[in-house]
Amino acid sequence: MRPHLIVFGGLPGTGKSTLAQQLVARWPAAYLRIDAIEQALVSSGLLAGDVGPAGYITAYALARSNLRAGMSVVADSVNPLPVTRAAWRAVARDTETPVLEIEVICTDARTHRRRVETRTSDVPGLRPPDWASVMNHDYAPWTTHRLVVDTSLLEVDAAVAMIEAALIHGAGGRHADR
Amino acid sequence: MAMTHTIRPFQDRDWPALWPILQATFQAGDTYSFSPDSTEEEIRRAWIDAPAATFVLCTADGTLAGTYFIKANQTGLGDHVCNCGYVVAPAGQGQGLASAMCVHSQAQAVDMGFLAMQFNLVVSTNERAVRLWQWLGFAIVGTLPGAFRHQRLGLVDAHVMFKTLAEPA
Repeated sequence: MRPHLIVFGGLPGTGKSTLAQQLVARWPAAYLRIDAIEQALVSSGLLAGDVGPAGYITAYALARSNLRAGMSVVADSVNPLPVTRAAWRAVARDTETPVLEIEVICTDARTHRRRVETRTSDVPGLRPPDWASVMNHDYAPWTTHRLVVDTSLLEVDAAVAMIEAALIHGAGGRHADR
Repeated sequence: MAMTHTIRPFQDRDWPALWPILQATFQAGDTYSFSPDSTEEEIRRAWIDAPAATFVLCTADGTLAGTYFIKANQTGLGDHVCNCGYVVAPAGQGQGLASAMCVHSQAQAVDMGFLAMQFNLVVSTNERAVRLWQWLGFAIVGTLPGAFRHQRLGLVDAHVMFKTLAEPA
């Protein structure tokens, strides 16, 4: 089993970071969290305006260098657009790494809203988005192959087990184990 | 986040908590070649006395949830390659404890002067373990046909897995 790229995506509050961190605790990997990168860029004070794509571009570069060094990568970002998803797949292609794409959803809006409104941020300096901005978040329907995890149906342990099963048995689509 | 845990050297007073975990694991007869009806004395000799060192993993509340041993895999000219065995308590499974112990054991092996680590009999049907060792950098260097007498599945293949840890000084 060579290094893997595991790409999480989904709206804020769906449970991406919880699942990603649980996974990294079981399957050691570099954990690339866009929230943390973007907050660091903002805190640096160097950016005149919006952080824009800078966080994603930084994460793609860090993922490439980790994978080339033989280290698996778990990427934790909203991954909202076809272009961001294609860019993660390009990282896998360029480094000849098997990729497992995971979309985290929460189909129960009440549960999702409660999570958004009650969570506290564990990224210093970062204020999590409110419900309105989650609802208005740019997020294109995901149409390509991915593992879909609905956190309104699955407890954390069950969701992690589902992802692990995909890793162990290669149910992640283009999970080529050479 | 992951439950915090501590990995420390085995002490004699750990044995009463450790033995039932080892006993349950070996009785299942699906991962280790120890006879399912091994006695407490036999297992203590194999897990504690014979190895160069034995460690235990305790969870945040002090519960013993895992253990591993480390020893030279061969004597004489092969004694720079170590061998480890890991056991996680049934209640602790699926929490990354085996992964944590394997990472710990690799650092421990280098500290003890070993240059590589070898697993001699990784049961092929223990897919989770095979995948985890591969994830942690171990390669399947050979597969022994029908070398393990699985207590439920009968004769199954076993892998020899190997990882280089350090270059000779």
